Amino acid sequence: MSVGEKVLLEVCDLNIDILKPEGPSRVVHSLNFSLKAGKTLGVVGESGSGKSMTATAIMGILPDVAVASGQILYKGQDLLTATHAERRKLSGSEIGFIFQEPMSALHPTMTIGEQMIRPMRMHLGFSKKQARDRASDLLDLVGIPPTRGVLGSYVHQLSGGMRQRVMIAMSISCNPALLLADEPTTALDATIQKQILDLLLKLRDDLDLALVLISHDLGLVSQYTDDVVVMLDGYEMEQGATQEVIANPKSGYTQGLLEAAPRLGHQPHRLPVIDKSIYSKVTL
Amino acid sequence: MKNDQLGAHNDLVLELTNVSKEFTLGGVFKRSKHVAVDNASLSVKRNQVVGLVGESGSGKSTLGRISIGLIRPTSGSVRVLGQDIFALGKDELRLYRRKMQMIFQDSSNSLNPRMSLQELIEEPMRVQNLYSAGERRMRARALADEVQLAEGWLGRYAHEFSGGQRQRISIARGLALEPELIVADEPVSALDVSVQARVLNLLKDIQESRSLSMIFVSHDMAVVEFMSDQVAVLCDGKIMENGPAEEVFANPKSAYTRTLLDSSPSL
Amino acid sequence: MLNYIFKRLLALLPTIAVPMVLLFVLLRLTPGDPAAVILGEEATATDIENLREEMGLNQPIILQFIVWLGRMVRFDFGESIFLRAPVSELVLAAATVTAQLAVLALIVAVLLGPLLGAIAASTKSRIVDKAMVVGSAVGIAMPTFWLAILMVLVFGVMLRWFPVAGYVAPTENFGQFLSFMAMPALALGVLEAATLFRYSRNGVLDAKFQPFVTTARAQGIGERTITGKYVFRAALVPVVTVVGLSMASLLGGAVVTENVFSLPGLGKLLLTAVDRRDYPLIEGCIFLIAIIFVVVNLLVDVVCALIDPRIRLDSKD
Ligand SMILES: Nc1ncnc2c1ncn2[C@@H]1O[C@H](COP(=O)(O)OP(=O)(O)OP(=O)(O)O)[C@@H](O)[C@H]1O
Ligand SMILES: Nc1ncnc2c1ncn2[C@@H]1O[C@H](COP(=O)(O)OP(=O)(O)OP(=O)(O)O)[C@@H](O)[C@H]1O
Ligand SMILES: [Mg+2]
Ligand SMILES: [Mg+2]
Repeated sequence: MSVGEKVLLEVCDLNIDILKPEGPSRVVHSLNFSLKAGKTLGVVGESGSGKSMTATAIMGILPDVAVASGQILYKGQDLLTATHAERRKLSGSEIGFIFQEPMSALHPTMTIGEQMIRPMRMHLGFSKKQARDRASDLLDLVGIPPTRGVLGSYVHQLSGGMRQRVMIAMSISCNPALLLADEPTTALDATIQKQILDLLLKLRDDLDLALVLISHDLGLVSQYTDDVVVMLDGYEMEQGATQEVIANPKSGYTQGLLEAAPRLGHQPHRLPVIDKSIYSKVTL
Repeated sequence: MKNDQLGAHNDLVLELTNVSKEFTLGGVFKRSKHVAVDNASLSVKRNQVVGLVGESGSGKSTLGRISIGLIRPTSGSVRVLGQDIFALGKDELRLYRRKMQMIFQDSSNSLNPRMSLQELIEEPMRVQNLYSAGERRMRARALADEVQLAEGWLGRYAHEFSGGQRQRISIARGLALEPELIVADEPVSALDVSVQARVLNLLKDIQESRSLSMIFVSHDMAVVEFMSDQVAVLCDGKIMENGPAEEVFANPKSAYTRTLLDSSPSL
Repeated sequence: MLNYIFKRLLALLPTIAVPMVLLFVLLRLTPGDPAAVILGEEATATDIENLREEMGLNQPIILQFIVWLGRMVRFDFGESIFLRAPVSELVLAAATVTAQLAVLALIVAVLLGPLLGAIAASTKSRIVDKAMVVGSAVGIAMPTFWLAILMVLVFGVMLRWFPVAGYVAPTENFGQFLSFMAMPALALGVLEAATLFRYSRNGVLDAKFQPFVTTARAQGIGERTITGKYVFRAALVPVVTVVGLSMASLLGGAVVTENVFSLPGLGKLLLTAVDRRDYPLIEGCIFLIAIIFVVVNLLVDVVCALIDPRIRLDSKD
């Protein structure tokens, strides 16, 4: 970490509580991490460990029942105390978001084209034609050729992987400085996954994009991220440079994750599982 | 388990013959056609798991939906347990659905937002009028536990779960009816390796103990290899390759299969 | 699409045919001589004999049916027994009035219901929302004639804002037409609006918390566009379906309303016809009402398919 690089995003002591009639329940516990422009941070962890909650808190789109406390500094500005108008200026233009479930995240009765075009017209001041052309180019970049006519289609007419790629194309359409990608490639096979991550890395190099890559796929995280945070039940288990963490996991949970992954050509009759209760900080 | 029973013609659970599906795209007036499945034939025997792989948009989900009678193919026939399911009337087909279940790729979209977890898992049993109310409740609890959803969450609604948790709700629903044929469309794509391992072990246990037949769709080659006896490779709606899993993985015939295998990321 | 519309119309033929045949059979099944029944107790034997002749009741029933069928297919309903005018003319004239009433009421309902529904769903004030919900519950529960009579009392008799009963054709004097139509249209429309209100409010509430709204928010799209485009477009589908159903209940309500306000519409005509056992006229009214239902249902389905691409009209998926 050289001194010259600017910290773009800094999450300090982030707590997220779900408010319920019977009292609040905490799903993210004092999380800390920071990210510089042009860098990639991986967030891995168990299903339900609070990865999406953390990302939505940064984006400012937590569900009504959830409240975040602590600090989320973006270019020095605390997003948690920012006004509605300040947030709106950042959303979609400076900060992009890739939703985990594209099927429900896309509008059911609006064409893909209409949904992709509106943010570009708003943030980039494009004409309808310019925006449409760019949308078409972006889809081409994520492996959907214009001949498929996706811009005129509706979300239910696309395959799972196509929806996910539309989501990705949409999120980078306004050249964000920070991209929060929540499980962006779960429906894509390795070939297209590689194509898309290479595209994101190219944006990182060209535009100094900072990327938060939430993924359950350690293989992916090890190939494409500089740093990694490992989460379990809302707690950070371990954090550090990705290669370091993979090579010498300090936490037994990380170790377990590395071992449990099914590997091609090495097939046990049953897959190893982790007894997470040993590592979990949640007292049951 | 990996078994190829001999002389088991009557043991065909699913038989797709020359199935094609053409979709019309565009609005109500402006139209274009797209062939999603192109003359595909595939069969699944009792106690057999057929892995279905292929690039995004190659027609895997469409073929899966056709297999359990959710969409009607443009041409070709679909037999489940010897019965042409598209020859059945609406009500008959609904009853027949009990024998075939699908775990959907976009699972959360198929979950009714007004139902609690308990109700969501009970729903398929209730729709089919199976078991007593008490039994349904017990089964729902047991299934939730098996897919690692905590007992305290039974009263929660679908939107109060994480992506991977919702995917597991879908799996529990798919297993609730004890079907004979399951189409699992990317059932573990949103799960971390540990939970994924538990769920895959569970699927395999259930498959083996009940001699289930399964179509298992995934883009993760290692997962497909773990689950499947047979592997079919789909490309642009056509079945390019179909054979025993070991063979396809050891000597992929088509170039496409080879690329798929080569580019699988590893640690 | 056209293909589909044609098929739908064909499939709905039974919807029209069944009540018609039923009507035919019922008349013949009535104990005693239908002609005598129609003419009532004071009729003379020659009157009855004349009517029997006119209705062809002296012929064997099969022959009667064939003749009847032939007339139906040619849309020939004959003459009204009491009004002594061609049924088709009477029915069409009355249907025009009913259509005017229904359309005006629908305009009231569509302007009022969804707008108030959207307001109730978006307002931060729980009291306003609650009050509106209670208001709509009252509206849904209230019978049409009750509101109609209330309005006659308040606006007609006490305040004298509107004429109590009667009708002037819009071509004659549009201003007067409106003043005669105002109360019946409001009585009918406001109650229909209550139903639409409920569905619109629920539709907007449902859509408001959908993930695609969060997506729009994450793209920095303003709250006004989100409500106006994203939420509205998703909430629209169930509302349109309900508008379609409203048409049906509007027509039903029109029958009652017309009688309260003495509007010469289809409802009033049908009631008169039933009252006087004017079978040709009954047949004509029922036939037209059945046709209206069929066409309205079809229209609703087509409109739904236009605004919701997930609905495919002509495939069997
Ligand atoms: N609206 C809500 N109400 C109550 N609890 C919620 C709500 N949304 C999420 N949770 C809970 O918060 C926890 C964290 O959820 P989150 O979506 O962040 O998980 P995740 O790490 O993204 O998991 P996955 O990998 O499965 O997507 C989960 O246990 C989930 O059940
Ligand atoms: N309802 C529909 N209307 C029109 N086209 C459709 C519809 N459903 C699927 N398609 C098209 O059919 C093709 C195959 O889709 P399918 O969902 O079967 O792909 P898939 O193999 O499951 O891909 P993925 O791995 O991305 O999920 C796609 O090109 C898709 O756009
Ligand atoms: Mg998540
Ligand atoms: Mg699919």
